Amino acid sequence: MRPEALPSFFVQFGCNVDASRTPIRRVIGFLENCGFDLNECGAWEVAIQEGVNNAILHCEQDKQGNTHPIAIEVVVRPDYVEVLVHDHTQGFSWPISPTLPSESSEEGRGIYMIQQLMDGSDYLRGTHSNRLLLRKNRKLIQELNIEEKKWQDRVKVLESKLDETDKALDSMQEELFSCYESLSAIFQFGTELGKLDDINNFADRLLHQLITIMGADCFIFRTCDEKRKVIHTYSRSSNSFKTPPMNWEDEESQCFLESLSIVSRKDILRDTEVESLDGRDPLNVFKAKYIQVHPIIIGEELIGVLSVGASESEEPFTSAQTNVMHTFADFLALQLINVSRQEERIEYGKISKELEIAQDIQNSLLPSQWLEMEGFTLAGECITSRNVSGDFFDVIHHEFDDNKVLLVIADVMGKGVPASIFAAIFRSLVRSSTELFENPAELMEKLNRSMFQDLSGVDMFITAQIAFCDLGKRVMRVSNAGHCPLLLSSRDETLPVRAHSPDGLPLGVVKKPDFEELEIEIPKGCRILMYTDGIVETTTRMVGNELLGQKRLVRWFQDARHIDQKASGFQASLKDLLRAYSGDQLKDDQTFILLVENG
Amino acid sequence: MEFESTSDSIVIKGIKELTAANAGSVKEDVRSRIRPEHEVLVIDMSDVRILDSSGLGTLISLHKVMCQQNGLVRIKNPTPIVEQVLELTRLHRLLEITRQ
Repeated sequence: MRPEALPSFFVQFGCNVDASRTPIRRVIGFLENCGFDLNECGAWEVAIQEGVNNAILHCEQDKQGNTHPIAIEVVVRPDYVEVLVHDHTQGFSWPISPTLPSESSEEGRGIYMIQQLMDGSDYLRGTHSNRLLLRKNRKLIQELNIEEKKWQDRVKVLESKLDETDKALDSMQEELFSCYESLSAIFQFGTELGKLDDINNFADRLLHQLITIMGADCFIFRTCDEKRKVIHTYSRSSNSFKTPPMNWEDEESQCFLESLSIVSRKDILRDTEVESLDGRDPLNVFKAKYIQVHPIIIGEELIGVLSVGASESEEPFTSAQTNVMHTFADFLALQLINVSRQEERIEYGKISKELEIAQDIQNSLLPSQWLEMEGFTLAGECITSRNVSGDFFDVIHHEFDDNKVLLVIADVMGKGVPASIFAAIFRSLVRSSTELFENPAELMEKLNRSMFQDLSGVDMFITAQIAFCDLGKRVMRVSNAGHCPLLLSSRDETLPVRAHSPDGLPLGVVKKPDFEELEIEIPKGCRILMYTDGIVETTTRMVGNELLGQKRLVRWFQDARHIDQKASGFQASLKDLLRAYSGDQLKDDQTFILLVENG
Repeated sequence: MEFESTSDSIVIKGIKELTAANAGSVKEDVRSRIRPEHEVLVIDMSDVRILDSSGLGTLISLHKVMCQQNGLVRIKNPTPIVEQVLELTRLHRLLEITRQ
């Protein structure tokens, strides 16, 4: 290929300074067209002018006194431009490193300026003429070269990014394929969820499917008992894997892969050829080159740890394979939680049913029908805050004398099933102690004697009040074991409401307590109220959660007494009061007995 | 080339080139207009498109004249190539350069 013709310029003029300015301006115009900017052209102009000045200053005249013309030649190269100033002088030696004269000197700076303003310069001496060579690199070309280099670099970067993208796409394709496989497997297993009857078998099949997708050979799935810090083998790919329960905080097991993964709550991938397992690590059973261990955590709860091993693989598990492992592990963990919750629901249902039965039994132990007594009516109720209650009351009529009745009320510390069991025992003991019917204090002592060991053994106690009433003789005897006082009033408004609370510690507190027994006359038109602390501890929503309290209860009892009504009327009025205070939410059981004389 | 003279300064402006072609005439012309009472010689170089070593010689010569009467030369608004030449030859340290 023929090289492209390079532009050039030539100008010649007479040897005097005035004649030089116009040709030099034309040279500068040509250089502007070559791509040099204003500053570069300024430098060119100064340098050429200096060269021309020297050529004029030192020119030689011929015999006729004539001078030779001065020529300027411009040669454009791809990456630089050369300007040659042809002179006809004797010439001089071009200094390699010219220096500046003193500041006060008015000459001697020309060559220095040329060398500073140009990228290259030289003085070529000849036989008939000399040439001053000035060279300046073409910034345009340099920039183009730099630009080209930049583009080449960018192309390299883009090619590199393209390679990375290809790899990423391959990886994404692999991941997508793995996701498809895992999704389809999970979908297939998901269809079985409704009919899961054997979660162990389900886990086995799911994890075998997992190692097929991962290209692995073996697995062990262990569930965690976070309380005891122990893992138990739940499923394994081979029955030959003997992996006993392991405490992950034991000193011995702290360097085992499963322990490390559980404690750090992170996945661990081990190349056993690079870093072998501890000799006692249970995962040695895999005899695998690569082992991936994944702690299974749902929410904050550690469910288990899944370990997978590959013996034949030359490459470690990819991120896509690891993701599949995570997906399967989480899916399995959720199924285990679901099954566990389902079992808990069934168990809770059973317990609820049993509690309902227990409540029915307890209710059947309370008096529900009131025997008619001449001139007196009875009422009582146990309103419970739970299915079963620790409150208890009983009304026992004398076997032969209709005028004699024993009123019993008790409150076992606590609520729920334990309290209700003691309440049932308490009732049986009272009912089986008819010989002490008329001696409440002795009866109380017997009850304490019988129940002390059982109650103190479980740090529980019972408060109780027993009142024997002989309505014929109009007298009653009362004994109290740390219980609320008995309230007594009369239709006669001149008599105030009296609260009777004989001394006595709750049952189960000391082995041999003394119980005081009070004998009280039963006034005409009497009203007797026995109650548990749930009544006075009812909180009112109307007065800033203030307790109903004994004062308000006594005031109600006082206000209610003049109304000619039966015990059932007092009962309804009391329940209205309690409802007004507590609303529908009971914090404690509420129990009471009312004995009211007619008229 | 124009001159403006006050009681203590003289300003020269309108120079297009300061080269071997006119350096001598400029030098003589300016020197002839400097009076003993002039303390500052301001050379406005905002129109100068070329300054060669002969031009520099003229500036140094005028500087010497002003120094002899305890005055100074002030180069006003030099063009980029003039400033470059002054800096290359380190005369920017000798001649005061101002921009307005």
